Amino acid sequence: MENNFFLTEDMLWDYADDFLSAADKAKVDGYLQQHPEWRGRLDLILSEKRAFTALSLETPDAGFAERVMTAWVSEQAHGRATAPEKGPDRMIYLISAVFGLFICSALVFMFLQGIPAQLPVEVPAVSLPEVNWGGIFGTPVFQYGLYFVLTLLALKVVEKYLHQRQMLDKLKMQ
Amino acid sequence: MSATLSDETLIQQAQAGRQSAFAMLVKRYEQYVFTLALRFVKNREDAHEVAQDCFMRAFRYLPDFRGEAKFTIWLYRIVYSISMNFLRKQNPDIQSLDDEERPIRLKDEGAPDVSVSMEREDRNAALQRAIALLSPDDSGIITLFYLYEHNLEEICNIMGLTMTNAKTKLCRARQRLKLILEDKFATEMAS
Repeated sequence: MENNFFLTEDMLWDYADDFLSAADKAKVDGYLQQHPEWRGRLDLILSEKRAFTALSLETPDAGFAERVMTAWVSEQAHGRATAPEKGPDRMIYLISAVFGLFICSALVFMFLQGIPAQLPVEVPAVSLPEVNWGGIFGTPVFQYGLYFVLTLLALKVVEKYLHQRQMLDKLKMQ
Repeated sequence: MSATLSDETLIQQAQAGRQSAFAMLVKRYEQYVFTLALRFVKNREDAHEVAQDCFMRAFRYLPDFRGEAKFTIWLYRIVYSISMNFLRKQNPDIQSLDDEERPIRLKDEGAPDVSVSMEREDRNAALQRAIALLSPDDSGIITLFYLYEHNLEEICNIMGLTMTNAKTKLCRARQRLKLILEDKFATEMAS
């Protein structure tokens, strides 16, 4: 095994950086034991590594943090001043809710119309109450209501799309 | 007391809009962000600009930060992205910020003048100057790996590299640094 294993400086760096697999690490350990001259090279690499990690961080000029905060506060203030109102969103939800309620009431009303006013005392033979689906779906309330809700949803999708485009444009500007 | 607050707490407070939390995050990371920006853009004035942009962008997108990655990884990814955009704006012809297509600049190009006597400079200063002579990618990867002690996986995340690519880049960066140190700073490194 030792005959076809040659240690290179890159492999020694990988050994020092702990990149090697357990098997390769064992090979390097074995090689280092048999070739003490490579031990010296490893020590040199470790000392260079220590020098890298001992490097000091650069310090920005005095007042840097304050400048960042001033810019941030000013951007927030500007953002608040120019941000669009949240009104339209709420309005759309409110209209949808009212219409949804209206449609539901209409459906309940239509359903109740299909049930006899007085229930028989005895339980009738197993038969499901017949619902006049044609009557329900054919009512103008349902038809126009459905169109209205679909229109609202389409408007919402368009609004989202425009919002996304606006955000992308902003990002491109940055 | 601010020093004892964890990043998570500060981020939560900042997400809730507390200005003091933003200020503490800047204080805590200004040196890291500035050093990394300086490694990429190689100029203190530009590094200030890039570092400020990084904090501004980080704060802007902080509400979207869900803590899936470490905050530092997220922040350094912003530093990397802004620095690269900055360098591309400076020189639109740049295709790669690595030295694979470019030889090592052993002649100084706007780097600190190394001809001045450096007898009094210590080993660290020589190393700093040598790193400054590396390409942005090389000095960035060396800083992230050795100084900030990020592992390769985290570096891949920050610099958008594959594992193999990151390992190769690190290896080449070390080789180039070694060449520069031997060529220009042999005396300082021997001391």
